[in-house]
Amino acid sequence: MGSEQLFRELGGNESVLTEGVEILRRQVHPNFLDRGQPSSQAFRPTMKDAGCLSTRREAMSAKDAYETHLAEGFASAGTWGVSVSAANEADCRAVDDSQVAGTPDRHAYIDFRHLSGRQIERSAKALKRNAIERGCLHEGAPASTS
Amino acid sequence: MAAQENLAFTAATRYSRGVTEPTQFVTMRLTGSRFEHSGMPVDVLPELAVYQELIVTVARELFLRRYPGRQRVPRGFAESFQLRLERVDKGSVVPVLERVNPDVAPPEFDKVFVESRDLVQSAIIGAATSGRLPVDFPGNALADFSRFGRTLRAGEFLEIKVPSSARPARYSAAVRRILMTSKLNGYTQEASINGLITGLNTEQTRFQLRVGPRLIPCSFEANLYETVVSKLAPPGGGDVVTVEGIVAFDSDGQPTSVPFVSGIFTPEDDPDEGAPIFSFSVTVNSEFSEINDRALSISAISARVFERLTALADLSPGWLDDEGESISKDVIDHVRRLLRDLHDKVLSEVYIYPTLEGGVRLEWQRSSTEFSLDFRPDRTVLYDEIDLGTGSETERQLSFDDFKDVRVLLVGA
Repeated sequence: MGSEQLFRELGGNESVLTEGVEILRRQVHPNFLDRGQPSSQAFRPTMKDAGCLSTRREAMSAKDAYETHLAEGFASAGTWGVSVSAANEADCRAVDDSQVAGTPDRHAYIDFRHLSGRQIERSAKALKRNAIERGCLHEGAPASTS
Repeated sequence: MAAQENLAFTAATRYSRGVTEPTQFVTMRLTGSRFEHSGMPVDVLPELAVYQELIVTVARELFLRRYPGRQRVPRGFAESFQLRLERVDKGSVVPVLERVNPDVAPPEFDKVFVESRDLVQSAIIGAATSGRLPVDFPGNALADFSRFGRTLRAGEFLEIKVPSSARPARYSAAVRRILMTSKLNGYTQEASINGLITGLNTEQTRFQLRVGPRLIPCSFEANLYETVVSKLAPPGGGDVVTVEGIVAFDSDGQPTSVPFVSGIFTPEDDPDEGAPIFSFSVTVNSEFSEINDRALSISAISARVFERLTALADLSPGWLDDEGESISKDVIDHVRRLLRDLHDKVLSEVYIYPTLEGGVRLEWQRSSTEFSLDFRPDRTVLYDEIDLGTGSETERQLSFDDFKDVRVLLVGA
């Protein structure tokens, strides 16, 4: 890891995050949690994400990030944290797109768009390891019947 | 404030109001070979009564939380809640339970009983899917779970549906065990134990079973006296027997006593069909391999693993915020076979997840290395190993037919 990357060109009003110590907030779906440990799949973009792993900036608390996620109609078992430097070391980069029209408040994404399938797997595992070493930042409510 | 609530409640108890909750309270589907024939086995009927008691226990706690000034629930609270077996529908065995005269109970009671039912439902789903209970689930009600599901055998489960939710709860021996081991000091379970009968107390109709270094007191009925005497081990020897019955376990899942012995067998006796739920084969010699194969040997860890796989099998399409295929039964069955008999230490390190493509992924880690095995619906298996410290990687493509190779990767990594 750490090899030179050919990132896609950023869109207008997007900016690369440079403070390596910033902890981005990532929501983990309950089905990607087993005995309190998230899957690396929770740290890789799905088809609908188009290569951009959605997070919130550290300025939003882990609790607020969780509650906002639920309010947007998505499920979450809780908030985990990934540092900007960990994203860089995983051959990705963290991008603030909160100024792009229609983007949620304090939103940022980890950019996977330049990576192949094998590289995505490797980066996701690195991000997961970074997240579980930090531990869950905000634990969600237990399963409900709804 | 509490006094006002109590007064309001007292008034309400005097005036019966109509209730909006449907009369049908809960539907349970019993699944397993015993339930494939028409009719309902009578030995399962007590489960329905225990379920009713469980609802009352939880409801009592909810009521006292709502009225913190009260020391106890009003007179007639528990009696106002009675379930009736309305009918047994076809399709495995489906007992339909209804409330008896729900409209004579005060609305406060009704609301609490419905909340209780839904909280029990949440507890079962929570235990089955994540091993976690709702934070507001009353701890003292866990004791009732030690009696609920006690007659369920290996491979059997209760699917519980309530009118307020489309999502059924699947209650099996494994889920029950998860609930038991979460907080309780001990529990009882229909099970079997292998050991030597090394002592007999005829006054107390009790014998002593040696299981490894442990001596386990076992209470039996007089009709088993001749059998016990015939199986009594002579000094320094004797044959290992299998004792079946209601077994008491401590919080670590170790048997402590057998309050009720239903049968005592040796391999020659050929015990009746139907494997016991748990078998603790602590003192086993080779000639008993047959009887131990017949029993399902399962620990709390493996129970959790298999319950997790069962939960994955229940996922509907769109399980990941509208993405994700339902999980292939073929994959589930294959992973279940793969993990069966693996040592607890291995199982405890493996985490199990669904994949968007309808497969199952196992993940584990050692030191700086992350491992994964993807079992895909097309019967291919992808092994991936990445050392995050050195950057070294290994990837292997296998198939379901490479059963031993996959197992070696899982155990040997």
